[in-house]
Amino acid sequence: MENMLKNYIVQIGADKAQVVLCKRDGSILFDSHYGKRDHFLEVMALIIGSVSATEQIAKTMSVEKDSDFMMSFANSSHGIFAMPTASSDNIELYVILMFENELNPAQFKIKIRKICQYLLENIKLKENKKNLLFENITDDEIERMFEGCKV
Amino acid sequence: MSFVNYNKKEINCKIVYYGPGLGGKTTNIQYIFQKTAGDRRGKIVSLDSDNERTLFFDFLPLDLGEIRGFKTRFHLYTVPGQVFYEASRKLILRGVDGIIFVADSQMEKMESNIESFEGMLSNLKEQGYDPSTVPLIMQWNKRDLPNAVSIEELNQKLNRFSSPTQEAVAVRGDGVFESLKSLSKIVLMNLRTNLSSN
Repeated sequence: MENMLKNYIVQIGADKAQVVLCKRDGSILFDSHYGKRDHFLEVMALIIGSVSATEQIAKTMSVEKDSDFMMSFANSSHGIFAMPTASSDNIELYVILMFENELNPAQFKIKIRKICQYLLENIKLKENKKNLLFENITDDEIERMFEGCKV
Repeated sequence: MSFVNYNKKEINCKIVYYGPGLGGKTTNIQYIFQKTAGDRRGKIVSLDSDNERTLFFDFLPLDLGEIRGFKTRFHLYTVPGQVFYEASRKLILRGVDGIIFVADSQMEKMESNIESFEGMLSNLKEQGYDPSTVPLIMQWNKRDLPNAVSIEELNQKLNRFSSPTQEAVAVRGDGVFESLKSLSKIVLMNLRTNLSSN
């Protein structure tokens, strides 16, 4: 999935923006690693919180959500667009696109829609999660896991 | 939310601190922030009011050490405790992997604790969870206060699923890491994968 999406982003010329794909619960599935990386996780938590809240507001106000629903926070050169979509096997997702110093930000509105469409048609994400990853984790292992992070 | 990236050998989990207003949820993550090395934690994001009441959520990303070759990253969230922020609490519970319920031990807070706990169960159900199967630690906070009720009473009135418990005085840090460690263990042992763990 990662390589397919990376190639598609280059193909449509969206590689001069930071593109992030995440599930509606906030887990980040793909990140194009473009641009500023400062506090990436914090920024993502805020954006995902904003999109979720915006979606909820629309729902509460009975605003009909169609395929063009998009959250946009941008000026004439910098901004963030976020758009709900889904994978071809119906896992609900958000695509987030961040850009700066752009002469024509509106082009990214078209590009984010293209990415959403590409995911709908080409990307499958469903996993059949049957097995436990770990069994019998000991207290010592947990202590060791926390050990390295103490001040 | 738990997301296991096999290529990077990395595990991401979402932990939510839930409980009544002014119970000590934000204090828990502030203490964790203070006592964690700078290269292992991000910034605390707090969406709060002028008087430091949480409006939407607090967020702290933590890079813990490795477990069996996997890097572990925990995303800690708090919910706003005030009654009228129910919609925000629902959103923050999306994709939760484990919950630390921070109960206020003071006698006069028992009703708020019960109301918050019941709200949590109903919000989890709305998100499609069976609340009895979600990893949960009950943290009895503010144990140092003279009007704290007995542990027996807290257990009897709040600990519906006989979850593991932890006494705490979050403002001093007592019980804060202990709660997170206990929950981390349960969360990691609940992670499911489509690959064989062998």
